[in-house]
Amino acid sequence: MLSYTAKRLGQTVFVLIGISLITFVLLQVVPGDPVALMLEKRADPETIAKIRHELGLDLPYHIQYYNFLKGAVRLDFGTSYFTKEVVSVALIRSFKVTVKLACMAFVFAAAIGIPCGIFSAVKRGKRIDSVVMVLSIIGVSAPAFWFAIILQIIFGLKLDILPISGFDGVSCYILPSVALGARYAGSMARITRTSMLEVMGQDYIRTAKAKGASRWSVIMKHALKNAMIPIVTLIGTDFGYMLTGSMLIEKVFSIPGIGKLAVDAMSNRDLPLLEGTVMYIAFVFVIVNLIVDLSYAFLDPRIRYGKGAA
Amino acid sequence: MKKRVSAVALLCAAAMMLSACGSKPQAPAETTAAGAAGTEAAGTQTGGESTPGAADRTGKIVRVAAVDPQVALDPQQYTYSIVMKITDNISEALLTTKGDGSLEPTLLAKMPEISEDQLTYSFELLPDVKFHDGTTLTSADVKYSYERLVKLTKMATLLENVEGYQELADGTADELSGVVIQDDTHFTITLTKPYAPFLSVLSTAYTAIYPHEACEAAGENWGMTTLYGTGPFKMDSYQTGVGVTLTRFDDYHGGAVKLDGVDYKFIEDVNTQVLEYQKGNVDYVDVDPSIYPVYSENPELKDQMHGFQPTGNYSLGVNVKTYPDAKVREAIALSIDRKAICDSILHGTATVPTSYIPAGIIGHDETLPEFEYNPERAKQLLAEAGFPDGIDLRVTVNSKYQGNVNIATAFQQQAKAAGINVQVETVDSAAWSDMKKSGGIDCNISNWYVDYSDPESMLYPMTKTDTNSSFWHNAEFDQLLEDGIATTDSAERQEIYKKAEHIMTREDWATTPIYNETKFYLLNPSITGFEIDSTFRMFWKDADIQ
Repeated sequence: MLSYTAKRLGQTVFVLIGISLITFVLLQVVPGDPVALMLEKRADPETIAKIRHELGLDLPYHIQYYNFLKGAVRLDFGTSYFTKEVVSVALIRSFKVTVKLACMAFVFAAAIGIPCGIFSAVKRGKRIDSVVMVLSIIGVSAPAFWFAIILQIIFGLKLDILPISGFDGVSCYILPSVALGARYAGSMARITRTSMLEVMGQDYIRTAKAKGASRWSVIMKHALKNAMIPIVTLIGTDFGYMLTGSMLIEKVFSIPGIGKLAVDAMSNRDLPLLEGTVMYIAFVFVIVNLIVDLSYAFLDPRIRYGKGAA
Repeated sequence: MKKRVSAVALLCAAAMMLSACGSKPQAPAETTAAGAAGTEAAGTQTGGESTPGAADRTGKIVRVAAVDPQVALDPQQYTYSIVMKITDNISEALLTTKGDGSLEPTLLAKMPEISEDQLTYSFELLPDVKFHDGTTLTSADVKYSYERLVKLTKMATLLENVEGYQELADGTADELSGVVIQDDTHFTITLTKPYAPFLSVLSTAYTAIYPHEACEAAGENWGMTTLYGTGPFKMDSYQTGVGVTLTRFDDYHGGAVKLDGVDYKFIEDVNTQVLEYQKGNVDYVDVDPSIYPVYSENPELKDQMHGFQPTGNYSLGVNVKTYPDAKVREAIALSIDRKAICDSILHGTATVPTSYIPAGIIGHDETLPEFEYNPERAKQLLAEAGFPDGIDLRVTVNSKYQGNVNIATAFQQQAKAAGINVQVETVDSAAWSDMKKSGGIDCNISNWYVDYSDPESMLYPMTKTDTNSSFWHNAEFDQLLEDGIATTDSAERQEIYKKAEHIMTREDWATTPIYNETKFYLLNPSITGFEIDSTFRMFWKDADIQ
């Protein structure tokens, strides 16, 4: 297990290098020059050349990439061209906000989605099953920003019980978490239901029932645990997505998280900030996937990592 | 048994960990540093934690919804209108342009004296004007601020007619030799050639006067953590993603200020901004054209909505390298139905222009008819130019301005009648700026607003520099612009600019205006004395809350 984890972490380094290289190359290929953007008005070629030199953008590409890598290993991505903020500081600042939103949205999604999925599977074919499934489809397909505005109008303006925007108190995160979590709750309910139904038809469930185990004991202890692998896979990636920020939700609720940081960095071609953000996002996904893979071993004793394992 | 419960336990543990994480103490909003005097009433506002930045401020505070500029609040470096909307209440230039376009001294004892040859301007500063750091304004601060403007390059060319500009810009000199200090309150500025709009230039936010030593010491933090001016409000805090808080400057040279402060709250989404206004969390909000129809008929908000016409326009620029024949460019200008765009896409908030130079400034020709939509004539012109089957036209729009994308799409339909096959290309800001400079844009929709109330500010992009992407050059036009700045007589200047505009928009068809917009904003009716001018400058100096 340990050697497997170490091996996976080792691979992470190569994944990150690959991603950084792709990002770097793409940024050279796409149109858009941060210097032209900085000097929007009254710019002349000499000034542009001067600023490019100051930023090191006139160096050969391989030197620029080497300089980036050199900084990246020390988590030093430089400073933003526009805000002059140190990239790692900006990332930490945005991460603090995003992680709160992601955790609350995740808890909301899991607390609603998984029990609904279990319930729906148990009551398969009943009216309640249909209701839950229709709601889950709405959750998955309703545009998040639309749902967000509806929540703002109802709970923020009409009922006046929650803040419309901002991020300086737990209450500020409630509406964004619900708006962000709704879609994931829907997909979690659906995957839980499907996975549970598959397990419920297995022989060992019948055996457990025949042995006289109580209904809920069968569902929670025998069925749910065995249905967990697809659920964990899904919620792992979902959590990864939440941790990398949601541009729309952050914009609607004025939350300065990772999503906003990434979009702003891209639209400004703020290279240091963009490289830093991409590295962060890649890292989150690699780690989340690793945790998901490791959790399989806990969930299913047949899965073993390390020496001699498949 | 252990194994059986492990799944549930894992899930619960994860949920607990995460919820614990979610309820960690919040990152402090760090509101008010120096201005925390009124904290005894902290949090007493209803829904006090609702929006960041202002919960613990009391007194007469105006709350303004704004987009996060994400850059230093330094107009010498960043020319976004939001930067100026904030800094105009913190720092001041020597002069102020009033609503009617006339100038009045702000930091000066009287209007400057101008030598007969129009080359030397003599200034006398008001005595004992204090900066927010307690230092006194001197001629050296003026000189320093102008040199800084040149060194920072962005808006340097505003001072290109000042003696010694070129040497300083090239780095061969380290001072702006045309600014000569006599004593602490007297200095002269010498120009290399007569330049009529010069005093108007000295009223722009770019020429704000900063305290020499503090500004130098702050370095890159100027406008981020430190910003001092001579204005009615001082900056207490500026936080990315949160807002800017200003408090009254008690030593303000311009007399007593009634407000205790101004809070700019960063709210990105235009809809959320208005919702916060409706809830009473902000007192001022710009109404984006996209949501104007939603709120213009709202009985609760209708009377709180005000409008003004900024001096500038939206126009269709055509690259003369791609379309060298003026007939083709005229055909393009004739194939856009401005009236339909104003009425339908802009919901009647815009008007069809008659000239490129907008009403209110020298050079506007009142006798001209509106630019027309005439696809038949356009077809004819294209045939004359050798394109009887029409032309293809790639219109590039910046995705940042969704309104422009809608207009380009409407133009696509309208131009079909003229045999012009429009392809709409949407690119982001960075690509847009790059393509503009490299000549990669054939036709674009963009806007331009004056920096100061003078036709030179409206037309200069069409000369020398190629900032407008049309790459059009006309010797007679360039000469007229040279004449325009060298002349001080208003009647003469009127004729010069009228003629220049005619060449540009009705003979050479280098660019063609599409519409003049009206900007709308919502203002809390209990606020009086608020000023917003046609160059987008927003002053809270004389405002009060009843």
